[in-house]
Amino acid sequence: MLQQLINGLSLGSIYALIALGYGLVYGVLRFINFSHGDVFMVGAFVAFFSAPLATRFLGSGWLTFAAVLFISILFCAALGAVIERVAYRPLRNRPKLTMLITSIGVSLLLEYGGQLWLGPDPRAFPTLIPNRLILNTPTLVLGQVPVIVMGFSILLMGLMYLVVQRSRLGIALRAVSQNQAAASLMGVSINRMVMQTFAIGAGLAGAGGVFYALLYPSINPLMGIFPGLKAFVAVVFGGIGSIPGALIGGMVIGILETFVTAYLSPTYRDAIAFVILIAVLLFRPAGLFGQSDREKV
Amino acid sequence: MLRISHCGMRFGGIQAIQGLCFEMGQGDILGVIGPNGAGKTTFFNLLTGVYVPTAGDICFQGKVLNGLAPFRIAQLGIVRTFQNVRLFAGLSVEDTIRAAMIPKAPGFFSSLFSLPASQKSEAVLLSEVEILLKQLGLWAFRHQLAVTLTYGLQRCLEIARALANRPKLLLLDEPAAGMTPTEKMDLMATIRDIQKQFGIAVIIIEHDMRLVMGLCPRILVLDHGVMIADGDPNSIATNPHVISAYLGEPEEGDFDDA
Amino acid sequence: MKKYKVHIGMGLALIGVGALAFLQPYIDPYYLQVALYLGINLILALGLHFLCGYTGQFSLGHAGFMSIGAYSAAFLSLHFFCAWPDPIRFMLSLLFSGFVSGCFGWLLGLPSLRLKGDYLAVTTLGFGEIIRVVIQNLDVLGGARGLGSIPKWTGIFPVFGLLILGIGLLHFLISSTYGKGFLAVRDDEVAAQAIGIHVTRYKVVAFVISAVFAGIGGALYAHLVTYITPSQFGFMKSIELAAMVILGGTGNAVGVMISVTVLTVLPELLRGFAQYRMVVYALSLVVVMIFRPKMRFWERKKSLC
Repeated sequence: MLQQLINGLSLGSIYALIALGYGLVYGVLRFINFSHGDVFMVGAFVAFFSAPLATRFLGSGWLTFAAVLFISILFCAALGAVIERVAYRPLRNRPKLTMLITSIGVSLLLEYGGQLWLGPDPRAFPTLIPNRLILNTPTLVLGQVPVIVMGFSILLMGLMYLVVQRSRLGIALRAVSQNQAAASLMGVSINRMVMQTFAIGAGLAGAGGVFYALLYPSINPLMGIFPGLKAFVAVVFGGIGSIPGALIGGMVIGILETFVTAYLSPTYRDAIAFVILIAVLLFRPAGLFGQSDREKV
Repeated sequence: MLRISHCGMRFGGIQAIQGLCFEMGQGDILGVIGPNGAGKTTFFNLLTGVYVPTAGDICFQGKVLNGLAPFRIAQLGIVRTFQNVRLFAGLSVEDTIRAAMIPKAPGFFSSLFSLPASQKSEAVLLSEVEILLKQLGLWAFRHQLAVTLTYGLQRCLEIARALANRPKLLLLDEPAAGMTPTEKMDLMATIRDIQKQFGIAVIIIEHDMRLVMGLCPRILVLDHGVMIADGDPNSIATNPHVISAYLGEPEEGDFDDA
Repeated sequence: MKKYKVHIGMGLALIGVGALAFLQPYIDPYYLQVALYLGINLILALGLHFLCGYTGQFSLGHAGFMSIGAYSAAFLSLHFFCAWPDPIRFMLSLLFSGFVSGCFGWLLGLPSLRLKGDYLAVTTLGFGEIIRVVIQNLDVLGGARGLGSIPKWTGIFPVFGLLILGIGLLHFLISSTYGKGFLAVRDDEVAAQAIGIHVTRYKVVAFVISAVFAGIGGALYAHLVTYITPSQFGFMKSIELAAMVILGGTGNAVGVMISVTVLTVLPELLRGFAQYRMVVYALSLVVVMIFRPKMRFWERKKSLC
């Protein structure tokens, strides 16, 4: 059982990373960016393609891993900014559902474009870090990869938390998410803020993709769909705009999913997240740490 | 007809209304005034069921309203207009009034198949709509989208919408806000006409003193959630509590420079 | 007589369709198939359009209702009333599918009451997925392998006849006083409550109606393709349906019909370029969304579509 817990936690921390990006964008623009999960996929593939290059110049080992991670994050951040500029900014003033549908279009574009270019078959992700066993007991086998994944994820999230809470960027972010008009009157460039938010969120998703590929080395162009949706559920669970909430939400979903797969039936795996979603929306729509907005009559 | 006993409304740490008691009969016109934040709109929200009182009771025609859903209360005969006009953006003037008459319109299945019986009822409803719109001078605009009307006409439509179902109590939340003096005179006349014709009771929240004093034989004054005065316009105008609520008490140094 | 103008119009249209149905055996099977797909998609889109454009709610899980209709109808057709004549059996299956999906529409409608906008969209999406997974695990419905040997009863008259019926009934509903309630709830719930409209009931009724349409569409679909699997009714299908409605513009039934026609026929035309199909589809989705002219001047920020 402890084994499942560890599996669940490492999976959950990846969901948490994606959830963070989702939550940042939702907090600022109040819309669900469906293509977020596919940026996650792009991150994995960028890593896949840059790994051989990095290995050639830097040998195999930690430096290669760091370089590959860095490249992925950068590329995905740029991708996020481009998507925002091209597909979402023109729609800023349209009804939210229009943006939702467009983000679905972008998502499909990434998925099927990817399939077209790379073929639908899954690729094997290279082992950048050997899964050396830290613990090898009958009840618990603990490789170093899950630990590294968890550690890095938490590190990145902690970093984000500091940025959002302490830095000028973070304050501007929070201002924009609470009241766009007032923030712009205070001198915050909404366009720049939004683009930066997208870039950060996408970068995080890209990192998530790399970590996911480390844990489950089979990657394919459609791999981002479900993690993306589950990450959104994590955001709702933890409460919109709450970073600790996204973290906890991701962990909870990861753990529950792993447990359900192990002890109930693997076929229910993807549905669990949605059951959680509906339960949250029924009983506590604001999530763990979110606030509900009351309409003033 | 309407009795409020020891009514209170608390939001977390804020006591918006406290110890409110008063009675009102059929056909009365009552004005509610008070400085901003006194709790006037909260009072309306309590009456219409948007808020559930945290203390006390609201009784209407012998029935306790506490906890009833707003639409039920509306069906019982209490309707309101809003401080910021809330019209149905996509509906025409005529359709807005029709929507207000839904409680007495044919139900789902007869409407779905447009049965002869429902067609007859619809025709009757339409003639009622015509009468009401003509009374309030909106008949010419009946096919226009509600949201394209001028502000004054929009307010008028809101009142018409509230009256569509022959309510027993009409709550007007700052109906004269944003109106020119001429429009205000028209409004006063309209309200008097309505009250006389339909015999309904009216409670009106307003900031325009002249309008309130001229229209309402009885005025309630709220300040910080408490009722500080209840009486006819003259006694209210000379009531020291009322004056200090609006103007404040003179402070120590106020008259030193004079 | 003028009062029954629409009734008469419907009757005439039905007769016309009936006449057309006689020609059915003489139409090339491929074009017939496409036409029937078109009709089915129109029915589905009609229901979703009603939910979205007229009551301001949305569903990204409509394929779920479709699959409920498809499976319930197929189940009935395969296992019950086998001695009865085919048209009667088909009608029973269709009615049953409408009823069952209506019930689920009611079930989904209830929690949806508290949700707005994005949250509602994602919840309905979740619902669609849950349905799919549940069906996948029910062996009595064939599980992941699906349900086959469904009698091929779908033809011109059932599809287009039901379409005409649907259009007519919705028209009656929306032009009636009762129907105005949907629009009122869409535009301003608080004001609607204040004039005595049972907001909750309207929202649920809207869900039920759109679910019934989707269910019947699904049943027609099942009896056309004769073999259904849960994966046919997944997220993709819901997106397709949603895209049809959104691209058609809200409050604009004609627009929806056009977009449904385009989106049904286009993939057929692109069949030669099968792999590019989805990419072109996705690209056009994005492009149209960005460059689509505003359909109605009163598109408010609060509206969903």
